[in-house]
Amino acid sequence: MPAHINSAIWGDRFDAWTTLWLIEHLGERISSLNFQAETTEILYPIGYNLWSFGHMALQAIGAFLVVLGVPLVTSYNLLLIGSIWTSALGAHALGFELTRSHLSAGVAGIVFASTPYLYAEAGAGCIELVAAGLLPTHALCMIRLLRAPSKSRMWVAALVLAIIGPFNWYYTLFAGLFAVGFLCWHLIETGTQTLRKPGPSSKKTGLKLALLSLLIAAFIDAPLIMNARRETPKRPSVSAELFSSEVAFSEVRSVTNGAYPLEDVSAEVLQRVDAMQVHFNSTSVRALIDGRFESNPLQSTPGSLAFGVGIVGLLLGGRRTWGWAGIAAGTTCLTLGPFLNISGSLLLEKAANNWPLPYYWAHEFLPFFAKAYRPYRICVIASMCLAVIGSIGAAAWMRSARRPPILWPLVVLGLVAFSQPHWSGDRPAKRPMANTSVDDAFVQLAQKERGGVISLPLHYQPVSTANARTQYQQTVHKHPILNSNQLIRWPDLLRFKEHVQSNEALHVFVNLSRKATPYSVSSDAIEDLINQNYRWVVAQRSVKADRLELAGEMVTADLLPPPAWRLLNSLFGAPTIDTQSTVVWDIENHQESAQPTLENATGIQPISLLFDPIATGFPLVLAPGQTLPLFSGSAKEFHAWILATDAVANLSLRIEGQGIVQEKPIEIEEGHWQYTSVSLDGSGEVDLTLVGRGDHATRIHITQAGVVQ
Amino acid sequence: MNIQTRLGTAVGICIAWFGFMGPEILDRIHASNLEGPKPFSIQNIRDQIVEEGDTGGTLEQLEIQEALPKLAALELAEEERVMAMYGLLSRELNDQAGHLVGALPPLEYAVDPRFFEPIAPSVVRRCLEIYGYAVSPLPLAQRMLRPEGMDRQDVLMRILSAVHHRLLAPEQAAMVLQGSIELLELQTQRMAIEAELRQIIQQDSTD
Repeated sequence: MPAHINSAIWGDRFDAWTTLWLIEHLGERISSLNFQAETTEILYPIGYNLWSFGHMALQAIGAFLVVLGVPLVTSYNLLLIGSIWTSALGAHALGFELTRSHLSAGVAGIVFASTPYLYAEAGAGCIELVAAGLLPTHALCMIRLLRAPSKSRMWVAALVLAIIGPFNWYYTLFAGLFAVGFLCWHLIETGTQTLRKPGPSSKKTGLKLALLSLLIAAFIDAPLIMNARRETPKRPSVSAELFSSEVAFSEVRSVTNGAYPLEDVSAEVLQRVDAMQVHFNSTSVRALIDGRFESNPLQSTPGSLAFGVGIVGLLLGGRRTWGWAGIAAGTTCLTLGPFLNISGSLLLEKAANNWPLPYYWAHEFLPFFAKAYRPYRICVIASMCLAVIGSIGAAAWMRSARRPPILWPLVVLGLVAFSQPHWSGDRPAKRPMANTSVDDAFVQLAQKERGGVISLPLHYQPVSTANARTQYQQTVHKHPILNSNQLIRWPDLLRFKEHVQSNEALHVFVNLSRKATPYSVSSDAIEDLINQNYRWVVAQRSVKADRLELAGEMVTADLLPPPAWRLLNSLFGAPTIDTQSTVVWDIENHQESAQPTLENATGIQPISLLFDPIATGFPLVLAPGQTLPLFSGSAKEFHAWILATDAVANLSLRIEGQGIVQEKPIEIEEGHWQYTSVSLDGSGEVDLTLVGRGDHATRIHITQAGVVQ
Repeated sequence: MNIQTRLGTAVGICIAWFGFMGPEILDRIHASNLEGPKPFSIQNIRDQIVEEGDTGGTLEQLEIQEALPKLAALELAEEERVMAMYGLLSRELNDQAGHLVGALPPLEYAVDPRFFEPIAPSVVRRCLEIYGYAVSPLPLAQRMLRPEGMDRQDVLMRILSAVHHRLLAPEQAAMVLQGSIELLELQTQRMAIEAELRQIIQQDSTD
């Protein structure tokens, strides 16, 4: 990261690109002192309420850095590193408060800041979740308040809890959850007899002030809560029947893949999607036992190291750790979600139906608890408790009769813990960083007249990394865009649907990559777009590929098929910007006509190949000189989307016809789907063959191959 | 309990859990996860029909009766392609491949719904990856009898082992690739027919 601090980020999911956009946007807002909630920079022209992000404080810190002149990507990376450090420091401070030893507090810092959960969220781009340091800080404040109650400590505890909100509403709820658990434990330890004794006592005062601090925090955050509810609108009930239903599962998968017809998307369907998220985001027993570093945050847990340290701490620390262990056990149980999922299968087994877990009752009946609709995230509290238990255990060990040394075991623990991303599970440290450079076309677009941008294919879900980058590209060209990664929230998606359905062209543009012909767009629809100040249409010939085995059915989501390219050229004429990778059309170049522009794929003949990334996923490997016969017959043009999986790929198209053999090299780029269109210079009979060239075997994936006849 | 005993107990618990119990439980979960529904076979369909006590000549029954010979023919054709590929292995090559079967990595397509079974697609993939795309016609099998004690899966695993461990000459690999592609096509046809049959049987049992 230090070597690429301004050119790459760690994490490539849509949240990362959204966060970059938000930091940049907030930076602009700070510079211009514009603090309105609405923006039309995304979801243009219908607009988006920034409160829907639900968490802006950390991004606002990044925005201040940007305003001070720190480059955007550097700011993001600094926030990420800072978040891990502050998490460690927060846990260290908590450990120190409990043990009065920096060495034993070090155990807490190490364990909490090296949990797989934080790295999975960092990899996903959810840096506000990596910044978990306020959780132990709040726990520290509660402990100090209960130990020596005073009004000043009560205010500090209340303010720390209140300030967590703008950073992250999940953690506000989790901190409240911890506080309630902690007070219950305190109450049990104190005993009812002590409380019943007449007259003031510090224990009674402590409990009262602690409760008061929670109420004050709730009061302070109350004005924000209504806005924060935008992020998590009304949540539906969950049920085991829904989680076991194959039909519901297919429907939800289709919506999240962006393949479900937009016209059929309704509040009911989207609430079902939301309900299913609770199940998908529940920790399975398998993941809990495995406790390794996973790329997918949904499978992340406190980790084996935290559990191991917790077990050791529990036995060494004895009774002092019981309360923490109780909270750790309780919160771990909550991470399992509403129903027990042993294997982590996406479809809940029928046997689990009869055994609702505590999370189910809390989700259904506790006010505000449904906000924690991603149960696995509660493991951050379990991690904190395990870290504290380890710290108490280390202190007990240090203070035992022989006073054994702890410095070297602590150093070893630190080395093991922080090296985990290099060797545990999916080994996230080995993952390449995501390059943040953008195509020159967006720099050129920034120079053009202001107007709304539509990036194609238009998706209503961030179905791929390439698609999710659209929002980040906006920070370069600065024009407002219709596309948004934030349509994962159903009220916004329904507004988007209404807007898109009001215009025939927009309706065609949705999911254009996977939509069957015919496409029909009238001049009236284009005129309507111009009247709404839309100006630019962007499509890409070079699309960064997601890992094929993870992308699944979404491999082709970004790959515009040949009829779509033909439609766009017919609608808008020659592109205004064409960098080979990116094409930009000016909507105002549309030539009005009485008849709608119709594209029904006439003359386009697909070529069926064994190597389809969805049907088989087989790679095509051609050693130098090896060939793959593609087509024999009459053709004017060959086209295909080709992905080179290594840098040495070298490929050409052999065209044999009328006694002439010619070879045309095909331009391919490692890790990118490249749209290849080769004119065959004639309309006679040809034999088309792909030929491996160069000194090494060429490894590619190929899809949507076909010819124009 | 003094502190050393406590530490010893804690370390013991950790070793027992992380070293033995945890991995054992994970293995069991993994194994139970891989258990799919009862394998599809003609006999299973007949058994199911008998179990449901449906012996009448309904339309569904007739459709099933029509599909069964097609399935049987496909199974036979698949067997022929498997044995044709197996026939390419000389005795020495066969023994070598057999010894190396244990060194094969886990099957990539173990639970992939796109494929009928995981070995044939693995043969195609490994052939492509190791030898590149080169095909040549695979002659008909000279011998249809499998060696004693080997089922079709064992035979396919030998072929996969020969490909994976680069034991084949390029000409042989080209024939294996052609044969495995044809096998995959046959399996795909069988999957389609079986899916139809399943649907008929399910509809029949819910009616």
